[in-house]
Amino acid sequence: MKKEIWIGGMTVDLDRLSKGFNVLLPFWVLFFAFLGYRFNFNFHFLTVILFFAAVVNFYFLFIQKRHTLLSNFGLMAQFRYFFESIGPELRQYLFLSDVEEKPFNRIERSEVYRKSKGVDDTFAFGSQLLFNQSEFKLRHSLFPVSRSVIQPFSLTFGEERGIKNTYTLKRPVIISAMSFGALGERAVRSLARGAKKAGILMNTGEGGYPKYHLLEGCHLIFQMGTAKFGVRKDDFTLDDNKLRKLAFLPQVKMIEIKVSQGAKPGKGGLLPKEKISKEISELRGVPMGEDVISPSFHVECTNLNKLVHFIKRVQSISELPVGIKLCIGREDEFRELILELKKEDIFPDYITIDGAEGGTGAAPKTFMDDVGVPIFVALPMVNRILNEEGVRNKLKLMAAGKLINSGRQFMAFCMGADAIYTARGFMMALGCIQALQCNRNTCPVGITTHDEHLQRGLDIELKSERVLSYMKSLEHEHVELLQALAKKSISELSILDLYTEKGLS
Amino acid sequence: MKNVNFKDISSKEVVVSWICQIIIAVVLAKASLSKFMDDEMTILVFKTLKGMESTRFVIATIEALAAFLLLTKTLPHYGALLGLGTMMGAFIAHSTVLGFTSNKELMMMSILMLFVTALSFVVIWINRKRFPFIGQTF
Ligand SMILES: Cc1cc2nc3c(=O)[nH]c(=O)nc-3n(C[C@H](O)[C@H](O)[C@H](O)COP(=O)(O)O)c2cc1C
Repeated sequence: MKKEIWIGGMTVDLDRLSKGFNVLLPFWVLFFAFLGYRFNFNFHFLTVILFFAAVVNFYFLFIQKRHTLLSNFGLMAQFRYFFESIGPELRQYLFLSDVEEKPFNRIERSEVYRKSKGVDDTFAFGSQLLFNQSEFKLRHSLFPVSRSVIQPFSLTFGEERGIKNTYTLKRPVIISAMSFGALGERAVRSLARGAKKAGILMNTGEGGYPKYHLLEGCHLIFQMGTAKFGVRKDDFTLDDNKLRKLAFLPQVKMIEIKVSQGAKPGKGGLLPKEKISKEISELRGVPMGEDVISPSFHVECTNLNKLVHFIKRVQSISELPVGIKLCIGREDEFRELILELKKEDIFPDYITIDGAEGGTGAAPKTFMDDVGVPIFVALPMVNRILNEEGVRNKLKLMAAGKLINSGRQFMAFCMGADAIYTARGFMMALGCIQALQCNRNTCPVGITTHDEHLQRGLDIELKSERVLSYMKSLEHEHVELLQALAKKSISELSILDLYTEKGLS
Repeated sequence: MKNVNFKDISSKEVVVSWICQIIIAVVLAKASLSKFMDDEMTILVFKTLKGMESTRFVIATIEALAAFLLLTKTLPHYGALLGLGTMMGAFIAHSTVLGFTSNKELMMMSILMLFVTALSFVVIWINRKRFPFIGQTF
């Protein structure tokens, strides 16, 4: 709740307000107890009421763990629940409708919340979407199949190259890249523990050495960003030895080279020196006391041929499946990349397409809003080009971009994805309330912050259960969707199972 | 707002809660009545507390309301909360002004007070999920 609100031209810092309230409350109790004792017994009415409030506040702050906001802000945070509870009325009569919030509307978010808490996630009466504007629908069959014919999901990376260390994915949804740095320690550990419990794979993001991920024992994709944090030399080039060591860790199952990201395609970044704590400097392998720039591309990869050979180099050093992640810009450029791969007969083990609608810890608005191709346009295009060039069977295809529910995930499968990445879906499973402050270290629910006070409320054990529950619930729906579409497995899905207004092929 | 799923409260708990509710209601009703009926002891007690002489009837009304709520099907948790509040007030009075054991009647009152406090806790705990907002956090 580090949010300022305007009251009659005055701004009120809610974070400070709640802290002040929490500290002062016990003193108010004592104060009225004194007045009651000294002057008039009637003051004890207030003593009693405030005492109750103080007890409840204590319980919220120090004992209960379920609600991060309450642990962080105490009784004052109840106002949020209060306003949320009368929100539907307020919105309906005064403000927004349930489908207007961005980037995820209330309906989409509450679905994830319910799934992650394992409570009833059905809705009633009808869809809230504007049907004549939505482009895609899944085509069900007249003859749904029974559950018993549904085959378990399985996808093996690296099989195309016949390498020794292939990795077989058993769950179709992967926790997408979010660096330690963008996320705080507890958020990383909650996700990693949840990933371990749910048996899903987690991408480390470009935060360097995955210290906190490793603590929890889940399977990892190590991501190498353009700054190559954790595996770099000072001139931004790859340090082969560091990569070899990392790839040797038993938990690291694959390596991902990030070429670009949907929320800021073609843009590097800057890690301000204020954010470089001792720990971050160690994990990322950067000096303290100076800003660190992430270049907008890998310095080794100044043309297609060099990019392709860089992939090969990482493959041979790591001896693991290696993928690349990119957001699509130009169709012809992507085709040229594929032609180059074909020419050199070098293929990454997978390609991740990140849609322009993808999230980030921080990026300029114009890059978030106006650059890159959205996932449901890019994905079918990529799939088509791979097929046209006859290399679809040389690699796996993954997709990201607001694929937080099973419906959108299935649409992506139909468009050619072999597996799904989501970052913000899992953030919401952790309790993200879309406060939109990931870039400010003030995340009120302690996810994208390093502030100890704010992180305190994030209970790792409990939140990891939410991750597990979210995943289970998604998988349950995947099976139900497969039955309705009369398919035995996700790999059978194709573009023919999708209704589109304009038609894709 | 999400409605409470009353399956959260087991039938055993419902029985325990009702027994407590009835006992508290009887004690509170009796206490309330004696205040309204100008019982000598209560007049004396309220005279001793600074500024409380006429507040006696306010307290009596609260106690009556609490007793009533405790016997309803849907609002016993509020009754128990009000009851607990009055008992806390009584506790403050005993500990700061009246004392607990200086005579037989005071001792009797103190014991009843502790008893009702404990039972109110039980009712509140069993029915905690019924409190709006806060209840959902337990
Ligand atoms: C807080 C945050 C941090 C992120 N950090 C990275 C990162 O380090 N590397 C990366 O490739 N993508 C990063 N992303 C992008 C996500 O991995 C993902 O590609 C994108 O958000 C789309 O998925 P979603 O719509 O399901 O969130 C980040 C996203 C968020 C929200």
